[in-house]
Amino acid sequence: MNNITGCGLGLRREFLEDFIALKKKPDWIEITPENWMFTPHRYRENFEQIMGLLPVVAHGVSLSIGSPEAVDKSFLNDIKSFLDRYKIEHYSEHLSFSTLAGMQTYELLPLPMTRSMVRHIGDKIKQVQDVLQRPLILENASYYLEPYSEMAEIDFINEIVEYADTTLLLDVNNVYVNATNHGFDPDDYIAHIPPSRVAYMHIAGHLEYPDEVLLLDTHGEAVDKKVWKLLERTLKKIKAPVMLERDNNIPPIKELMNEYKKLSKIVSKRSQK
Amino acid sequence: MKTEIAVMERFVEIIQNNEELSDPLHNRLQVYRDMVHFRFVETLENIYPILTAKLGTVLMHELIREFMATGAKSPYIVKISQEFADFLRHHPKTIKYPFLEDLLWFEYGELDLLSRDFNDTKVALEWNNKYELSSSSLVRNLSYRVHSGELESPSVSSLLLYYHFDEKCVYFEEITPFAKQLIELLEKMTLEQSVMVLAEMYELDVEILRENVEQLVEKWCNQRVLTKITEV
Repeated sequence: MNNITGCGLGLRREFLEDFIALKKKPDWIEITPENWMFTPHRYRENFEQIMGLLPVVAHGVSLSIGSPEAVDKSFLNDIKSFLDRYKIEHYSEHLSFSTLAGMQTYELLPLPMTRSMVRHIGDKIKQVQDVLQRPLILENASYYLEPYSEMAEIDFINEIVEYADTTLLLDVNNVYVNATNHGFDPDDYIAHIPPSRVAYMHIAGHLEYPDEVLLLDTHGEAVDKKVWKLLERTLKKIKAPVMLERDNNIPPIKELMNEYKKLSKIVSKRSQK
Repeated sequence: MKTEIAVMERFVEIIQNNEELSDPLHNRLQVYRDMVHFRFVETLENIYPILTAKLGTVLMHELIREFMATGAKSPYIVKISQEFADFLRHHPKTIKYPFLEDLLWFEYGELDLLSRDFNDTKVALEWNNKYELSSSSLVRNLSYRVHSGELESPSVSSLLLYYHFDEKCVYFEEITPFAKQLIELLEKMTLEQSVMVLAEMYELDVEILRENVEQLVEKWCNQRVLTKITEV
């Protein structure tokens, strides 16, 4: 990925001003374009200042690549205008669906993992890339049930990435959450990912659901020890930039930067080996 | 894709509706149902806090669940507030709340102004100019003083909502019928002509009226409530 190396942090409205004041900033930032596309006056100045300071990756939430219907051209044109305006080269989205027959749920819903779905999503990725004029990086999403599947998640992802000839945003926390919830080995999953297909990685916190063995991918907690360990093992095999995600219960930027520093230390230690 | 589509349709149907699930505490469909519902509730309660307090959370959540099932259309979640307002306007359970229209305007107006970017610049007071409301302000005649929490008995007022550029927040201000009339006149004629019309209408001394109007329009220009109409 051009300009994207080392570690990134998700930019959130909650800490825009404090972020500008940071003496040592992250290597790069990730933004959710839907949250900034119609940037209100109260955030615009700070946002544009930050956009001029650091390399940026856009990580969308509303594309709904798995929906049966065709891509929403009007929405994609909005995304393209935004990416062009801020000269953002890299755009990633989730392997999931959130819209059905034009109705929005605003959640990342699980897909039937089938060969027909592989082709359907692969074809849609190509359409998206044609409109956006840039590659679509696909993220492995968390899921709490499999509505209908004829293949393992890892095969589903690898086949889509291969079919569409695209790259992967490997969310290490999602691998851990899915492995726990669906009873597979996270290391085995990561061993099956072709390292050359990984554009970058995510790390985030999750929550244990009360009364049963279920982890929820909330992005509202600090990163779990076991996820840090899984990241360390992943970095032995995959050399790619890593980004710290936090979307809920957002702590003060100083606290978040402490977690970022931990990430940075792990990544630089691994890249020296 | 026929089977896949049928599975996805059924899945969405279950999470958007309220049909009973077996063992809901351990049913992962319930997890998705809660996640989707929570996202709608969180967004809409933040936008409509007074409405939520007035209707009560039980009714509000019931209405939100019904709204979810009808299907929000915008890919941008913040825009569902307007869709939800349209849904409420036509819902039989809201008929008994005559203040609803005013309250929706007041609460949505704040969000609307906070969500916008503005191109209008500050303009100067000039007597031969026409003016209109800028994109950073809204005005409406209300039948209920929803801004003072008076929702039980009707009481007519005019309310100005405007974005404060230094403090980056929205203020509201009750304005007199006279001030509301002045805003309407300024769109049609110059400030000078508006003063003459108002002086005749209210049988007021032109010079005294001119002084008062000058102060008011100057304040609105400084607050960027008004912008100049440029004749083509």
